[in-house]
Order: sequence, then structure tokens, then C-alpha cells
Amino acid sequence: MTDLKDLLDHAAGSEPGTTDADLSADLNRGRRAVRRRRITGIAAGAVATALVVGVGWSVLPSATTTDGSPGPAGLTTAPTPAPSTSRVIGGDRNDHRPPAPVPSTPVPLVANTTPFPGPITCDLVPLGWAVKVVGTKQNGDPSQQELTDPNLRDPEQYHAQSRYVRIRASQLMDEGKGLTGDKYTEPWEKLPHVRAGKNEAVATAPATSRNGRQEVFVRQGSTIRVVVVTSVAYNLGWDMKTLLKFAGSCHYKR
Amino acid sequence: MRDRDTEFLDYVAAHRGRMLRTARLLTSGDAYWAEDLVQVALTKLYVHWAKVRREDGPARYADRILVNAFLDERRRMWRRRESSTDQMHDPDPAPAPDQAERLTVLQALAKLPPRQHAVVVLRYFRDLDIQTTAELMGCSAGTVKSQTSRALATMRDLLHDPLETLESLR
Repeated sequence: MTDLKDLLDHAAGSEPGTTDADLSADLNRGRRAVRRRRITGIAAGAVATALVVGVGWSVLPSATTTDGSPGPAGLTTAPTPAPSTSRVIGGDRNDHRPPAPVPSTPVPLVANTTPFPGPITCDLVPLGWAVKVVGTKQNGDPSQQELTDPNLRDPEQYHAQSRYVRIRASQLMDEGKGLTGDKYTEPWEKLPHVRAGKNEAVATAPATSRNGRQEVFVRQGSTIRVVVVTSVAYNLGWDMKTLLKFAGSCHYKR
Repeated sequence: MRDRDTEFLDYVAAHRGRMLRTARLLTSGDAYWAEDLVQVALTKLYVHWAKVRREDGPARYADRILVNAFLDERRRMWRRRESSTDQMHDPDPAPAPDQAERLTVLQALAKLPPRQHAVVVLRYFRDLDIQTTAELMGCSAGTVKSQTSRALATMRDLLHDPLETLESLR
């Protein structure tokens, strides 16, 4: 095959000299390619991050609505079920009074213009409901606040734990397993999260909560402060989405 | 970065000519396409310089890029649609002692399927052994052997009667 090698050698022509211009052009092309590669890498990283965040955001069951108001929870939980007479309400087996009546339409949320009396206030309130300070200190914060319907006729005829929403301050505490909310044994990061307005929240769905009670722990941004909203208000007729919307509007006073 | 540039420039100064000659054979004498292939190979070589130095070595990597770039180009439809003409567009073709023989060889190479074409250039121009050729082309040694055998049979047919082959170019 020496012949073929010779033929190929001739066909390839003489070896061209490499000029400084060739070298410089090759080097510049290489440098440009490296720059492009870096920019592409950064752009691809940014896109990937945005996708991950976007997907994560959409998977979390509540996003902010387009009008900027706290969004619906995205949960398809049914409204608080109407209790049967045999059902134990509020865990108090000695209270045999019926629960407050469930309205035919849920009580709507409206904008709140008057700050609540305690350390926490909410930007939304159930229409016509009033708030007052109850209880004593909770986790270092001074009080709980309770929302009730002042127009509920003869409230005492109904079970005590079927007609209020309570809001209290709490904090995540690290007791060796990571930041953990009160009432929980699992760290916050390991709990399934939902969105409550702009914040991350942990919610007890009616199906898993005790006696239909709905409770939402709303972490205030990335701080350890938490707003806990507990609803046993049968007379609100809310589902978890609405409760999350309300809880998402609650925050510490600035 | 400066070390990398210096090393790269040293490599290019020493090997660019050889790469260009290989590329000329791969492109069957198309000087512009050959220059493109070399530029593509050198650009990729610069981008991966650090890794290439650690692993295969720049020469092996550059050869692989050159061959892959050639095979990729040959697969593209636009390149297939191009047809050869009897006009020589290269105003300054690489000089050769016998233009007719040179054209015959290049035309014979052009008639080979891309992989057979690459195998002939790598084995009989670059003097690479079967194993190295297989590694560069990403195929088995057996494939290289069979491609070589078919390519040589075709080349033999075409080169045994060079005048007739040259005539077909006109």
C-alpha cells in the first residue's frame, strides 16, 4: 500500500506554512468559543433554575393570584362537613350542644382596614366578623385573637368549639432536629408545604384534623416567626382554600 | 489562561499544516471546507484544552474532531445537494507534481462513502493502526477492517484506469 500512501501524500498537497495571522485567528476563535460557552452555561443555568422554581411554585398548592391578592390554596378540600349529632365537636365529649349552623354560602372575605388589637393583624377578614383578644401568653407573644360572628343569634346554644377562628403567634424552634413548629415533631422542612399568600404554610386538612378543625401554620418569610390560624367556625362555611387565603393575609404588625 | 494560550499556540504552530493536509484529503480537495474543518477542530480543541491535555492528548482529540466534523458535514443534506462542476473555483490550488493524478485520487476519495473515506485517510495517509482508527471513529476494529477492505476495492477499481477516471471528471 506504499503506492496508495504516496498517492494520498501527493493529493494532500504540500504542507502550508502557518502564519502569525492564522495562529492569532485560531486563538481568537477559541477564546470566543469559551466566552460563548460560559454565557450559554450561565443562561442555561438560569433557565433551569427558573424552571425548577416555576415548577416547584406551581406544584405547591397555592400561588398568588393575578391581582396580587393572596391566592387560593389550590387544595380541593371540601368545605367543612356539616357535623352530625353523633360527632364529637372540639374534643369535648361533655358538650352536647349542636355546632353552629353552616351557611348556605361561605362567608366572604373582605379587606380589613382596622388593625387587630393584638400583635398580629390580617389584611382580610370574614365579612361582618369581629375580633377580640383572648387568652394569655403563647410562646412569648402576648395573646391570641379570636374572630367571631357578633350577629350569630344566641351563640351559647351552639357548641363552644364550633364558632370561632383563633390567631396566635408562634415560633419555629430547633430542638436538635431542625426548626420545628409547635405541635409538630417533624422539622418544618420535612412537612408538606402549601402556599398561604406569599408565605409557606403547613396545614392540617379537615380529613386529618381532629373533629374537622382546620389549622394553618404560616411561616413569615424565612424568619422563625409563625402565625397560627385555627378555625373551628362551622358558621363560616369555609374550605381550606379560603382559610389559606385568610391566613396568608395575616402577619405581625410592622 | 496564559499558559493555556501559549501551549495551544505551540500546538497549532506545530500541527496546523498536518491537520490541513488531512482535511484536504477528507474534503477531496475542497480547500475552503478543509480550512473550515481545521478551524472547527482547533476551536473545540482550545475550549477543551485542559481536559484534553489530561486525557487523550491534543493530537488524538484534534484528529477525532476533524473526522467527526467531516462525517457530520457529509451527513447534511445541503452538502449532498452540492454537485461537482468542471470549473475549478480555487484560484490557487495546492500545487502537486501531477495534477491529473492528484485529481483522480481526490475524485476517487470523493466517491467513497464517508466512513470508508475517513478510514482510508486515517490509515493510509496518517498511518494510524486499526485500533487507533477505530477509537477515533468510535467504532470497532472489525468495522475498520471491513470498511478498509471495501474502500480499497473501490479505490483499486477507480485508480487502475486513471485516464478513464480523469475523463469522467470532465
